[in-house]
Amino acid sequence: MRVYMAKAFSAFRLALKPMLTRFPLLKRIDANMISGLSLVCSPIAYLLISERAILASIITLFIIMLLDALDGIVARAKGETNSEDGWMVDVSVDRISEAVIGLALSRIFILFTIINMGLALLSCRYRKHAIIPLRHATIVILIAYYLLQSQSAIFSLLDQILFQW
Amino acid sequence: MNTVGHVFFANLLLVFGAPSAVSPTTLIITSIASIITDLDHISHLRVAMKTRRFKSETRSRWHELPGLLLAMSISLTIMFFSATVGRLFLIGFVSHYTLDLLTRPTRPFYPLSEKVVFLGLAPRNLKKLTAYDTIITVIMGVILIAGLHGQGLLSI
Repeated sequence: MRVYMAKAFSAFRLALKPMLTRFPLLKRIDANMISGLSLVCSPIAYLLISERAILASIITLFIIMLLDALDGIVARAKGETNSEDGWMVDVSVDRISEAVIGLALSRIFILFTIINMGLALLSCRYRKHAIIPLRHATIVILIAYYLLQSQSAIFSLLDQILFQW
Repeated sequence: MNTVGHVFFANLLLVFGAPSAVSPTTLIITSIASIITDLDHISHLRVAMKTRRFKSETRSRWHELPGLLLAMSISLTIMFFSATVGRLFLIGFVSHYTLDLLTRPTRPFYPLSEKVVFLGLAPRNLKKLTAYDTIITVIMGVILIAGLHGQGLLSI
């Protein structure tokens, strides 16, 4: 699975490179700006989850994840290879984004957000990347919550995990 | 972002994200939580008056990710005693860090790293930044007033 994803990313990167040279407007887009856009989408995801607009919030979370992946691809395609700078932007935006999304979720998610933030600081201190994929987990639980609405027992359990605990 | 902008953004998240919790008291609590992080700027006021801006160096560790970690931990602890009050604090704290990261150069991992991060969504020129801040603040203010009016808390 990981190999396929890596192959897909490198194919996307190769496809993006000629586009960057052909369209000067795309060249002007900064990778950090894309990260910023993913952070701008986070309050929208928070509001949608608060309103229990589950499908819309899943789509917004997917857009956030896509933008998150895109910033690294754009940076590499543009030849910006200072990985430490990129890592800092990426990790700080991700942690704040998780915190914003967590505002609409239960205490267990907030606890995991805090743990993740601690892990990010430790990663910076010891130069080893260790993060819980919290937003991925949130999407999976939200999809299950959306699809299993007819099965009341599982649905109420997921409702408790997402909003009550 | 300026202080009024922080207050507006935090209250926007409260009014549209948790409308059942909105009351004058909760609005005040969220407002206080949203600006309390800026207290570390006080010692740099004199320099800021001259340069007309707070630089990223004026932000202490409590204004970056370690501060957010502490603020979120405090909010979570409060949530076990009063879920609503804890969430109000959380909204205030998180909104502040979000808006600062979006609009200002910050050092998210300070004191572990001095590297400045800027997302490029706001201008760096002082004049343009002031105009940008004012426009964003006014837009948020208008949306907030509409939201409060919709909640019946404010009659226009």
